[in-house]
Amino acid sequence: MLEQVLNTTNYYLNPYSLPVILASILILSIGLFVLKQNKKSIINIAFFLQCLSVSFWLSTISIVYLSRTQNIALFWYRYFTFFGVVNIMPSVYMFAVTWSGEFQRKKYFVIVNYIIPLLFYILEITTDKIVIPFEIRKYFWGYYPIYGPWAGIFLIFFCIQFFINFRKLYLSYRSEKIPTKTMQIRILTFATLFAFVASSDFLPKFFNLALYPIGYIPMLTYIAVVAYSIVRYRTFDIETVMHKTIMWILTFSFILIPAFFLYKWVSPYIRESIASQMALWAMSFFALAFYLRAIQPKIDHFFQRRKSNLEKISSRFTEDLVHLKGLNQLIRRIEDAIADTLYPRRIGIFIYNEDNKNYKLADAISASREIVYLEGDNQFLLWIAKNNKIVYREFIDIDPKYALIKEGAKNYFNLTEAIVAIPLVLNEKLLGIINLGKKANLKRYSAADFHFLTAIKNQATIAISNSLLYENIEEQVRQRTKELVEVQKQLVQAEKLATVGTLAGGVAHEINNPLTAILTNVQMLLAAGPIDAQLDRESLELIEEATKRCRTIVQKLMAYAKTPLEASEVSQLNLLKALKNVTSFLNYQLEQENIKIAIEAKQDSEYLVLGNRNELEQVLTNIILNAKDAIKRVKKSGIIYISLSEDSNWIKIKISDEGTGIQEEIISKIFDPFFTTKEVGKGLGLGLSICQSIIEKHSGLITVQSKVNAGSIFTIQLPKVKEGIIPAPLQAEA
Amino acid sequence: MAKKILVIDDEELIIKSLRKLLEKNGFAVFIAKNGQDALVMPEEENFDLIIADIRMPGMNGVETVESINENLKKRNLKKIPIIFITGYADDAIKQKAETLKPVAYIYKPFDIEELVNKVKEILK
Repeated sequence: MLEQVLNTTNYYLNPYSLPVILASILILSIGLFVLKQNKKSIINIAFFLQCLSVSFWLSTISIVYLSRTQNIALFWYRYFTFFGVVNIMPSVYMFAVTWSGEFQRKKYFVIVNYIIPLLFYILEITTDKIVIPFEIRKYFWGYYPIYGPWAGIFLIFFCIQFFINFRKLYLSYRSEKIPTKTMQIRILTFATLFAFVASSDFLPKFFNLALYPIGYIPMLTYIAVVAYSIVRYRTFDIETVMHKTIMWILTFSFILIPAFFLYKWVSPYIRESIASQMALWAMSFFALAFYLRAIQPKIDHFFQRRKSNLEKISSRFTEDLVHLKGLNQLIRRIEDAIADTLYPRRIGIFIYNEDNKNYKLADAISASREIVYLEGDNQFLLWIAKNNKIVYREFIDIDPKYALIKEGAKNYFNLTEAIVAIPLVLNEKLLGIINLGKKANLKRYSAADFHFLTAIKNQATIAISNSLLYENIEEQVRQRTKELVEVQKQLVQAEKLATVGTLAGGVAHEINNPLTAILTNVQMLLAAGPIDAQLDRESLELIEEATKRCRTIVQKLMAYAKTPLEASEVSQLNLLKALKNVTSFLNYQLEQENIKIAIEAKQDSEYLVLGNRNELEQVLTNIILNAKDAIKRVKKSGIIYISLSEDSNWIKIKISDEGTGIQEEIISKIFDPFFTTKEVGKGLGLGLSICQSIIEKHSGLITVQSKVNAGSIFTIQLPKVKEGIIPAPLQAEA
Repeated sequence: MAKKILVIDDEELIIKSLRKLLEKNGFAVFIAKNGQDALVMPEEENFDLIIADIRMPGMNGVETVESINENLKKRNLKKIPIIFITGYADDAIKQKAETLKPVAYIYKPFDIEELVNKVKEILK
């Protein structure tokens, strides 16, 4: 018998077996796919067992179709196909039980459910009572058995099993409150009905009807539907799997069909030759190997392509983010990444606005621009900030985790006309939200899409957070700089006015003398006395001279203490003139204190620099007055030497005194703000620090050399304005 | 005989004006343009009054009068009364000036009457 079974000449290629084989392969693939999704889940295992028994049933019955003789067909049916048949219902039962979460409780039922059909199987293979021997008939689609009287008992049992299953599902459907589960059970119930029809395709044979057994079609439908409902809530790629499997089968049939005809053509010639048959088998083997090695990977790749594209885009996106700092650029890049891959009809990105406590539409692609603000206390936004999950509108109704937020979420999606919401959450704070509309091709968002969006979401969150921080810091720096510039301007002016105050004594004295002369002479003229033309004229001359003196002093004072408006002007100026302006004013004071200023400079030289006259004069005033103080600490009188020199790039002013000098320990600190050696009340210690910042602002350099009890030399270097080349103007605000 | 007054000031405008004013009122006026010049004069002239500016380059008015007094003391001569004409004087100098009695102050710019009355009062 076994010899006959193994003899290939006892089989022929029967086209009717082909769809059955394909269905069998498809069902097994689906089973494997579902198992792969979660190998530890008992549901997935039960589903796989179910697929396995169905696939076994279908693949063996196709061999029955292929058989040339009754004997062979009967052998296959009795020992294999029937084994598959008896296993279907128990596996469906087991699946139903695990599905409703009752596997542990109903374990023994499951076992009994397996044992009883197995008894039928044993009965069949030992007694021939169910499938009547030699009652296997040849129909147009191949051999098919006629069941014997005992089969009725099996049929009754089969029906009982079905009704138990069906009732079970119905009851749990009625009692189930969770919408997702209800939906799944509904799918499963219908699918089970299909399965029953499928498994009972042998029924017509009871009545001797030559109906082609199409049970594999509803069975395939059942498996596909169930697989879909299992997988849908974890992954959405069931479509891909189906497509892929169909592609396999199609391409495989491209090999199979020519092979079939080839076989038909050569079979009469090789029937007697073992070697030829061996060669044919070998060829088939190589063809199969070729298919598996060369064609199948191509198909796989085709279906993986989109996924690999997504990965590529996502990694390029990540790279780009590193270089983008501006929020607007960043948002546009995020939009591009999503638009280029998923083709949503709309994209809207909202970013949190700290000041107004709401979310503002940062950018949108074909999304409604009417909704520009989302309130910060929007129920859905608060929820999504806490949960940090991408929300797909389709799931709101069926997934229990959205039960609490259902209405809020629906309102949100209606408001934004979106179907996917991607939160950008960092440290439980919702920085922003990306809303996507339907896909342009109206397809659903797949698991791969969500995988991609999750990657984008995480990258975008960090980038946006950084960018917000960055913009915030930029803004703060801008603000502070502005304030600092303003404060510094005020400080310079305050210093200047303070200097005027210091020098007031000198100025007052200087004005008092001419005033005294004027008053004396005027009063003498007014006093009635003998007219002495000579003396009166002398008095008038004295008055004129004194008045002119006053005018000069007032002019110098005005020039020195300029208004703040003039103070911020930047212009080309002659440094020697500025120096003289300063010294002529300071001289009122210095002369009183027996200090002289000696200036050494080439009179024909222009010493042109670009700068703010007021500020540069303030620097010179500060250093000259410091020099005066340094001298006065050690002697009653002295000279401050000031020299101007220039080279091709720089103008240098050296201001040296023979005063106390600066101790080595503090020389590095003298330009620090608030550092002072003067007693409390005599100076804020801002003088030299302001000098340094002014000179640095003018792209110059201020340095000091000093020796205790020998004196100090302050050197200021400023960039020279070359003839014909005017350096870029310094920004008055910078 | 006209009373002799020594004016010590560095400011030409003041010197000229004071000379005119005092001479018009019948005084003999002697001028020193700084402290050093003043120091050599009292030995030749027996002044009745010194009018001095306090703030001057080099030796200031108070120092000058101090030195003059010392010289007078050496020769057992009587102190000469002083009028300081000043814009303002800081407290240290003013304190020092107080020791040089008899002393009076006139603040610039003054009315001529004020000065002339003061001078006449001292020289009565």
